[in-house]
Amino acid sequence: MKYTDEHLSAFLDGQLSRDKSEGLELELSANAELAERLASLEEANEAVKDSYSAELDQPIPDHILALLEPQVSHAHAATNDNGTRNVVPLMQKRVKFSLSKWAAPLAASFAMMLGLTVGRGMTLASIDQGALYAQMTGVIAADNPLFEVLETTPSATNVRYGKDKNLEIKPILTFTSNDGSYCREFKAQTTQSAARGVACRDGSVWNVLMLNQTERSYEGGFRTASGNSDAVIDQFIDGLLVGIPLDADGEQTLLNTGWKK
Amino acid sequence: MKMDQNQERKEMLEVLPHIQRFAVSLTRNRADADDLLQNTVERILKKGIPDDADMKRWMFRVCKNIWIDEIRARRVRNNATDSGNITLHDRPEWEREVMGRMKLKQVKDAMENLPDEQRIVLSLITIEGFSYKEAAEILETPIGTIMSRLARARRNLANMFTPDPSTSPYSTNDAFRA
Repeated sequence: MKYTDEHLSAFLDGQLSRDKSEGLELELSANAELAERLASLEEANEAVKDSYSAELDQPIPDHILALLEPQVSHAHAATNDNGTRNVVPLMQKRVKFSLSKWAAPLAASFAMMLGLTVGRGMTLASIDQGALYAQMTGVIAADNPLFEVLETTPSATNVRYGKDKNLEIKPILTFTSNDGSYCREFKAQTTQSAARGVACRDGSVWNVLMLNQTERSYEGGFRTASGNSDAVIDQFIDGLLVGIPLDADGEQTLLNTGWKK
Repeated sequence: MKMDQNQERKEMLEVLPHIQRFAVSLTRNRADADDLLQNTVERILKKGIPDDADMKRWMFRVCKNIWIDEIRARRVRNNATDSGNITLHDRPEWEREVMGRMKLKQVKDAMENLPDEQRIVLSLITIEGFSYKEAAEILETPIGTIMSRLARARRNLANMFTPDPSTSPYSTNDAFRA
């Protein structure tokens, strides 16, 4: 059988039928010219693939990302149970590191969080829990349970809140950000759902820069609401962090001195 | 079932870097690539996507159609088809070494010389990793046409990479034929 470039090309992509593939493999082992033709196609193919691989990491222009900013639904905006303010958008604080590489996944994560109430068929009970999370976005002042935890609780220590003690907040990590402020990663969970976030101290309040909502899986335990959302928070912290996270002694000093620098 | 608007935006954001790369491979011009990307997003936000459509494939299809019908046509009208001022982003030194004789500029030049129809297929399958079936769906073209355009694109590139075509044992008859 005479093998054309079309056969060789399809063979490269694994899209040749099994019979033809086997026949071609046999011919390749005996026909140096055919093998060289295949190699030249493969080389060209790989060169193109390699040449464009770095393009995937290029930033999306801001004006295009702006087109895809999430639309906040009225239902979700009203879930703050103190009734005095709506959900405060995340990323209020101006961070100094470049978001370019991570802009799309960050925005995706944000969109995912805002879309959760209407997008994942949550029950009324879980919307009640969602109200708790609504309190964990934006500016966290002294009247917020999260404020007390961030302000006074060592990392890896659980603090329980609520009438039935069903809200559990735990600081995970303390670090210095690239604008010199102190930041903490934290987790919060209830019987219904869980969240992982990053807050930074700004004056006398804490600002939640990112909150990634998670939910209980049917198998028990918790899972993130999107496959790469944990990675997104990791990348966010990597971009924000200067040096290494504080050790227990360094953190305790800050807790004792009211986060004085 | 109709997709939630924020879910739709989230899916678009996830595909966006791929569409941007596709736009760069089609236009070879950063400004046109940005225009193409923006028009693609705006078109989908305005017209939505069919209920049973896959977001990624649909975005590629809309992007290709806008390129063919509008931006490429505009460039032709402006007599600027081969502006070719795209700069592929730099790569680590070791990767460039691995590429051997196929230097980035050579690849860029070679891609620029491919007919649109071949470059589109090559971009979808080789760069973006779509199957022949998916590419056929995106381009609304029979699989046989996809296969022949792809083979011709690869052969044309291989011939262009060969320093002295007269020493190549392969025919160049079909070079630049879409």
